[in-house]
Amino acid sequence: MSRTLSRTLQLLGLGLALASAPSVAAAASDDWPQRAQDLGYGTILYDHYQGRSLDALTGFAVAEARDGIQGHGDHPQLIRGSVMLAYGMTRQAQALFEALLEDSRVDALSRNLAWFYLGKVYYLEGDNSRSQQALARVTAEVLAADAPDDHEQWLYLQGQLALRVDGAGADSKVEALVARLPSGSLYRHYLRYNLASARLAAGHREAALATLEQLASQLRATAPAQDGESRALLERTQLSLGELYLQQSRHRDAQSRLAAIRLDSPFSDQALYHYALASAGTESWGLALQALDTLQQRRLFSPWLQQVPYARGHVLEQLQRPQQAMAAYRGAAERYQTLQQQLAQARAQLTEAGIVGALQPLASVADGQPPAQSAVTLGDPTLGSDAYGRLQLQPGDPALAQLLSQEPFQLALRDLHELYRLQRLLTDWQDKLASFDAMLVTRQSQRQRKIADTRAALQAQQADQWLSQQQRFQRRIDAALAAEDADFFMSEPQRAAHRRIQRVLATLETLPDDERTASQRRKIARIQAYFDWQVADDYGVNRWAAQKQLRQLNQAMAEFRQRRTALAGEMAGTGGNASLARRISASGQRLETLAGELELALSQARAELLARVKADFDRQQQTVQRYLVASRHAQARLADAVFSGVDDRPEEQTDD
Amino acid sequence: MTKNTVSGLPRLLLSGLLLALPLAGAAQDQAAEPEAGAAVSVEELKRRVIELNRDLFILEEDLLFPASTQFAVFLSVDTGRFLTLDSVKLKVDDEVVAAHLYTDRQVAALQRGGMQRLYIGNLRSGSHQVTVFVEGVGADQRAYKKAATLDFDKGADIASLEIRVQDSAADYQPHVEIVEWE
Repeated sequence: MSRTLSRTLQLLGLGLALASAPSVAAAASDDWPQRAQDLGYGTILYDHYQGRSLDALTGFAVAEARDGIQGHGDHPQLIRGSVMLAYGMTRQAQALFEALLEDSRVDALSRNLAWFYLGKVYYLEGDNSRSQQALARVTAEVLAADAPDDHEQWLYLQGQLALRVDGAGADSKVEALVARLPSGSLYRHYLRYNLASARLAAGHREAALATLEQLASQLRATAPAQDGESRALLERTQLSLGELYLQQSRHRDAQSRLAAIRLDSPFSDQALYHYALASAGTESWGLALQALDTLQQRRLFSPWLQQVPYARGHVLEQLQRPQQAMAAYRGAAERYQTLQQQLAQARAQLTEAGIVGALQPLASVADGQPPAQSAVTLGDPTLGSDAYGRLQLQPGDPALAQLLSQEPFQLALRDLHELYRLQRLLTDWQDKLASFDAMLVTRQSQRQRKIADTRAALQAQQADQWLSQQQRFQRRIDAALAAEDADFFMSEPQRAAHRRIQRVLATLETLPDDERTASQRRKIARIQAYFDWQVADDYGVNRWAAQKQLRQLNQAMAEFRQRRTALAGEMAGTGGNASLARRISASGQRLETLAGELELALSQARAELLARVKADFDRQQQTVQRYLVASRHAQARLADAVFSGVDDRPEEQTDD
Repeated sequence: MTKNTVSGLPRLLLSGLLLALPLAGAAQDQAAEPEAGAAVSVEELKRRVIELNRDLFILEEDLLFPASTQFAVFLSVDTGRFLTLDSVKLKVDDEVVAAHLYTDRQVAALQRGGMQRLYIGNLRSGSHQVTVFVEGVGADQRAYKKAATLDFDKGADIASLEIRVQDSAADYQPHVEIVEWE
């Protein structure tokens, strides 16, 4: 039951802002293309739909720093704004929607949604006038067709604004808006409930009662049994009806409304207590005592239950059991005194750890699984939260039960949790940056080793010798070209033939000058003449072949030189490591600055939370003191009466 | 004296009740009064942390997964009526590089159009083979096991693949395919 209690307190006790929460995410789903056209956007949506707003917003920022989000028009910006809203960044969201609306390229559909969201931003900031103006710019038919849930929320927000501005004076306007909402819509029911609240605040008690009766009847007819929120609203309505009838001394009406509330309802404490009062009003003291006894057995000591010990004494007194009543008053006084001491001690020893230790996580709403651990750690990303970042917690310590249901405490807790999360994130990054640093140092030393190896390999290649040879070839070919030296450009077969001719000529020089030798000399002279003619004839072809080879050599050498130059440049530089190192260093400095500011914000948030809890303890102490005094007075009064014989009626046997 | 006390009691108790039981409208007014100074400060801090987070995220990718070798695999579900994801296992060149068990919340996020980055790593240029094994429960509560393989060439740019779990209206069966993003 306590789980339901806490959740419902969040749903109802925090007012209707929560009722609108699911539609922030729903806006993205109703008309959303099933397939993301951009991988980065797909992952952003994945984070967003899991409620990981920080990751989603980081994803948007990364996409913006790169190529943006392709293929989805202006819709990503609308989603970004709604994620900002969910992450409590209302001012950023406001700036984004305003910028969208100033951009003439934005299509009509997106503009319509942007006006709606902007109105919602102003509403959350309490700027009623601007919120009304922005919501008035929305084209209802377009919104209803484009995003039906947002359309319902739009009607609801207008009703809320009218109530905020004019109170019960907005009666007819709100009734008209209620009529436009679908009969099964929760927004319709909440708006009607708030209308009743406004009528009551304006003193129109009968009108308020009629509205609540109408709402209860409609909820009974339309709310499915498994719909927890509708059921909780129905019981809340019945409780309010019971309370109002009690104030009018219509005790039987109060009894019938309160009896309809389940015993395991989150409102059953209040309902039982009111039921006891209503029963007392009809002098059904047995029923009153039964209700109070049921309350007394409950472990959770909510502020409602603080009244029970005193009320029991009162009921016993009405049942003409003065001895039992005296004992009950005495017991109540002792209990209040102990509670006073406990509250004083708790207040004196109050720490943030103490507050957090008195809270327990609710089961994850989405996964339906109980949490793995019962201890709450602020900053733990697995801690469940609603669409507005409020933590889904339940009180482990009854003293915090009511406080936890209050919006300012919830917001202070949310901020503290979020700051811890940010601090945790920064700590993670600090660790990562340290490892990035180590990684860069390793990369640098590996690089130095590679450079040394490369230098050794280059030296082994004797690159300088290759260069000088190439230059020598170039010079010789240039000279031969200038001298038109055909012999220089001879082909390999021609060179072989030339060598053979030279050898024959040399041999003939050593032979005696006879006829045979003369004949040989004539023959070799003919051969040489033919050879010289052939070389001269092939000069062009041979020269072209030699020049071609030279060109190829030059190209190869140019490429070689280019690679060497690139290698030299690479070896002289840092390989991009310096740029990365600079980025790491700059990020480290930013991290340090932000961590300091976060620490400051944390101490402020912590102090605020402690102040709230202390103030609540003070209030509780004052209430308990009132009951303590009343119990003692009643005890003394009864003792006077018993001893003076005023109350001499016989004591009946009871089951007390 | 008794009469006064008796009639006074409900008033005392009721006044306590009324203090402690604000109607929803009053509760909402509380919500409409944010503490401007602190809120601005926390919001500003959030903005700056998001900026830093962005820069560090980009730095981390530049450092660990340079564009020339970066290889990422994403997973999407369309629309998930015939298969509720349970787990997925990814192999690259016969080596398991990623495995994931899905929570209900993650499955819902995928069904609404979100995409999970299942894996990011480095891969050298050339031919590679990617295989994915998908397990889940079908509409008829039957356990499904599906696999898909893709041979692809990694060039000098970032390589991104998408594992698509799709409903096939033709045979009312879930289908798994791997698609390469250009």
